[in-house]
Amino acid sequence: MRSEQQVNTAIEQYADTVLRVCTVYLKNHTDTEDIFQTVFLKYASDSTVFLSPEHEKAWIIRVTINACKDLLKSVFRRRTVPLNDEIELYSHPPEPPGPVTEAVLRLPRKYMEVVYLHYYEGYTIPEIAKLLGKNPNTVYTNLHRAKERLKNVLEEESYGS
Amino acid sequence: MDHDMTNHLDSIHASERLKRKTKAYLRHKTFDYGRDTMRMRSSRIRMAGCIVAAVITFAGIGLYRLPTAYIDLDINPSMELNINALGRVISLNGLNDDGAELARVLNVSGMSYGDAMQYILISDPLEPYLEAGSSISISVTGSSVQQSETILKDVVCRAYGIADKENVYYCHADRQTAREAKNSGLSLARYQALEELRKTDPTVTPEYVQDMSMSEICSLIRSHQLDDPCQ
Repeated sequence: MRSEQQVNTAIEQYADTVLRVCTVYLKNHTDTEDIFQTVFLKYASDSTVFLSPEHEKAWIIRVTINACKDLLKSVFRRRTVPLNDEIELYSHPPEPPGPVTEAVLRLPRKYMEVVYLHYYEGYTIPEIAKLLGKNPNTVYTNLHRAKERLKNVLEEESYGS
Repeated sequence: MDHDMTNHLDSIHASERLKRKTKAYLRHKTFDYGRDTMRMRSSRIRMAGCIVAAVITFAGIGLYRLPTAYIDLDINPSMELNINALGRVISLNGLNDDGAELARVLNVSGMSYGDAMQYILISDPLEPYLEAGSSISISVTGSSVQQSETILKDVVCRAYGIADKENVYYCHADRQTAREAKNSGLSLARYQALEELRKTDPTVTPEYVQDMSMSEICSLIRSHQLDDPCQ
């Protein structure tokens, strides 16, 4: 088990990352607190020796993604959360998402996650494949299809407005 | 895409409340990172109690299903009751084809051995085999001599109520002899009778005596002028 100091340092360092992954995956912030607790409890009890800060961050992101996926599959997840609880997750209200971000968040999960990991977190396709446990060709295909979909959606929206 | 997503996601920061709650949760779940020995100890004691309860339950189930005595009932059909330490029938098995057919239709699992024997002896499927002069052979084997003798007395008395006393044969033996009997496909009494016959005629096979009634076997033994092993 890791020490309290190590765990508290990790919480300070990666809380924002975990919250961002939850925002992208869960969309309406239900059970985010549960995901937080799950991720950092795993961190506290895991014995992996991290080779670098990047290795540690990738581990945190992978565990968070898996926790979000497990939650989405679970029949016990809560569907709504009181407004006050939602506000208390954030230090201050986030900037509202722009049209591109909204379009990304509306993508099917397998496309949304590769866009987030590639364009926001800056991972390469092989790194994303390792994170998600997928074939690099699959990741490449999903990213390509995501961009196609986004292009179509954004073009439609601009014609509409 | 970068700029749009970056603006939104960069503005997301976890509140101090969320971090504080997470830290408090972790202190609780890890027993204050191993420092709360009293709570850790009581949690371990509770877990140990659950494990002990589970072991006792499974051991109890195992003991219930463990046979400690066997009653071989040979009328031709030939059957065997497996009895547990509580005197309850675990299963009824046929030792020949007719016995297997009867075992299939007679449901005595869970009964006390006495009630089971009574039930079998007065059952309709067995009636055609219990014509006048039929012999009943009962043998009991088990790990406990005391249990075996108690069982034997009880079931023989019940058999006396069904057949003439002179036609009721009974014996008890150790499990080794019982295993040899089972391996040859015979009830214990029939096997012991076979061993007696083999003293004067080594060519006698289990198949030869398998379908004979006990009274026929005993007559055969007497005709060879041997001591009757059944009485």
